[in-house]
Amino acid sequence: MQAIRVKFKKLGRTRYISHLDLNRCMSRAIKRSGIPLWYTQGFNPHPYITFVQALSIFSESECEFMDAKLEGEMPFEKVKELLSKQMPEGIIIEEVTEPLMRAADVAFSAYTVSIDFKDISAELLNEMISKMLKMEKIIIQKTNKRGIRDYDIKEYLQNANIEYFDGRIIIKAVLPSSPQENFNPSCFSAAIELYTELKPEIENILRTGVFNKEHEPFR
Amino acid sequence: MKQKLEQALRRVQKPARYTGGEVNSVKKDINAVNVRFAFCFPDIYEVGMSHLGMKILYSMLNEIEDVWCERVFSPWLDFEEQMRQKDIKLYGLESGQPIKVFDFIAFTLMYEMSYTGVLNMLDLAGVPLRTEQRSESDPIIIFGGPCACNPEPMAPFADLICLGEGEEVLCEVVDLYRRFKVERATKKAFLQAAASIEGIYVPSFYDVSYNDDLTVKAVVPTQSNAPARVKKRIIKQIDSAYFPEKFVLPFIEIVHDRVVLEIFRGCARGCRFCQAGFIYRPMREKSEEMLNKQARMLCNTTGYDEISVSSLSTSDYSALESLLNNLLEWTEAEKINLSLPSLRIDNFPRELMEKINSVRRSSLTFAPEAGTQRLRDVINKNITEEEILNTCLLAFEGGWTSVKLYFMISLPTETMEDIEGIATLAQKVVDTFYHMPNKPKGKAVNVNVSVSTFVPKAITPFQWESQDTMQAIEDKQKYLRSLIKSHKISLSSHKSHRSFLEAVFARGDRQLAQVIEEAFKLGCRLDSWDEFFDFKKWLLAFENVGIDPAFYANRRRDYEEIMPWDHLDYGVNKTFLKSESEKAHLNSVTQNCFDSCAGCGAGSLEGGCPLCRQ
Repeated sequence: MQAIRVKFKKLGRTRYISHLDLNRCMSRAIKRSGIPLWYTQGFNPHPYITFVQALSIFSESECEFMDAKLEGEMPFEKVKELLSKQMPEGIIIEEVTEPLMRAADVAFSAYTVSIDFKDISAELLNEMISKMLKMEKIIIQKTNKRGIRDYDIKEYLQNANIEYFDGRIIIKAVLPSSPQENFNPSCFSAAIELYTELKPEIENILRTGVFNKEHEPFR
Repeated sequence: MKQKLEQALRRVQKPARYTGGEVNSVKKDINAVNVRFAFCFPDIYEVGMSHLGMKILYSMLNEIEDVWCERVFSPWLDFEEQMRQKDIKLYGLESGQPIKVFDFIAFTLMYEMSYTGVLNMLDLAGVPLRTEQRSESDPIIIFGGPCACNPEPMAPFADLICLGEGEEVLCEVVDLYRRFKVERATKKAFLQAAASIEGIYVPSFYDVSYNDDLTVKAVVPTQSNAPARVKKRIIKQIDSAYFPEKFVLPFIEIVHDRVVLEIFRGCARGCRFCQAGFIYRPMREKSEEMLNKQARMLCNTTGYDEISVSSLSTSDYSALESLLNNLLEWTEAEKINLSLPSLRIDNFPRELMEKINSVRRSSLTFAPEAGTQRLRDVINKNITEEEILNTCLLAFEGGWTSVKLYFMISLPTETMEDIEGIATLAQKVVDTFYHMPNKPKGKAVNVNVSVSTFVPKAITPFQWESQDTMQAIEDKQKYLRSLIKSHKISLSSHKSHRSFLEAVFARGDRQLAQVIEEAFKLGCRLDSWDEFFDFKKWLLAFENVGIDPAFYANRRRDYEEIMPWDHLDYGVNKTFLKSESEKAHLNSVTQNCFDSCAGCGAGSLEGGCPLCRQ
């Protein structure tokens, strides 16, 4: 048995595909590709694939990882070639390797978040968002299994790189994305909507990197 | 436009219904394409994408180099709201372009309750609803599908209607259109030429007159090209008929998310209530070799891990065991499941049965349809109580503890005794379980009785019958409920409102177009969904246009009456239907087509009937 890690991009209209749908899409792609996938044993065998990190629907990514197990050996380049042929428009296989880190090692993700606003100049945007950044705390409510909790996202916004354009801001930020602590980058537009007069029209989120707790790229 | 759509998509459930880009979907260069075809299904993505007919015709049209066929489904209400708010016109999933600029917009009419869906989609596309309101620049609107056998309530909205199987006739229509496009001929000239293609019905070329009692007096062609009777088309050689090598693979889960293998068309059984059993005649089988090849090909191109065999009566396939054995030879190794709906499991080898997914996993299903042998003879459902109980016993001995029984109420000649028969039969199934000498300890049996309401349909022996009034149906349902004493039996029945409307439209005439239009304007859409179905609005629509629905649903017709669809020839002739109707009223059965030919007339269609060689 051979463990493989597939790094891929999920761009364009595949942003509208949920995590569950992606799973199905990949199982079928692997089946079509003829790669000798390892199946779980038991009454109802199914292909064994897992994703290192779930990506929210509506987000794009340059850095997704899928782990699988193969029955027997196959060169990584061959796996990449066979899989690439089966991908829908928008999913691009970057690399097939052996897994070096454990999925549990993932600690941070880098994002580029672009938020559009109607009829507003770069200067005004800068002014309003800078004002928000001067607040003592920027509290966002998050709902999880344990209920609604308050989080302060000021630290992340302060450390982020924000560029201002007419009608658009682009935020580049690194956020925790471990199973213990995970921040959805849509918290930025939520904060802007909550603490400024601005009304975000549409946001586009792109995951650009995944790192371990030493900030080394996940492999 | 793109920005508006992206915003809309962020605000709806399951946005992947509206984005396209699926594996095996077809992209073409607009500049290299002559004919643009929108294939519309008047229900949501998950339902439409499950429809085999659409998969066949989509792939077939796209194999023609200069034709681009795109898929279009009805939006769910959330996306419709976004579309109307943001002025997004209904678009094809492949190109994302508004279908208003296409050459053809085709709808498949799957069931009566999708009619408002058709109007809603035309409206969302920005195309005027009625033929006479549309201009030269509007696309040509085509209807097809099973409800085309009586399309009259929808006729004023169609430019042309395809009767029967679409594979050949659609290609002929496209070929004709290509010529007329070059010559820049008028739409009317095109329709005149199309009317002489066999299987094409141009409703605007027929004048319908009515008697004082509102029944149809005559349907007369007004154009020389339009035949007095339009004959449906069938595929003569089903084995060589076009079948896709690929299915578009949805991202989201659809209703039938698997390879569908059509083993034959038509049915040889002749159950008198069943429209599909008559309008798809004659029965034509695909060869085992072809099916095995097609199944393998589709599994390879989709990566699906399930194959479902599709037909009206799986057990009637002549080489079923051998087909399954051939399929199992490779499906088991490739971890692909087989499922066989509508299989009669008596006389079916036990070892084979255990290898088949649907049988292995779920509960067993029977459709006795009626509670007494007399009524089963009336409807020509050739299944005896003994057969039902024997099969149940077989199943119980094999370890199953759950059985589902399907029945209909409001069948012709039905009495309260027949209703009692449903309860008695269900009880006998329960007793069969408990009388087993070696019944499993500590296990209970569960008999699920599902009761639907009979809808008389066009081109069946029951086309002259009345449906019970909604009150009478409710009384029968109540009575049945009072008869069920055992906790082992669970009864499910539904409000008859939708069946009532189906009964109206299934045998309706052109007058009803006003009702459908009015109901749509009152807000009716996606009527097959409980979330949206609003019976009060429908009643208001009838009232507003001054039409009494009972005239269509609850009136028994004379044999002499001219039916709104009598000018459409589905092979099966009226003389045969009448004799079947008369036999039904004498509790007399008719043999299936394998045992003896009953002379239905389907042999008169091109290619004849392979069963009786007529």
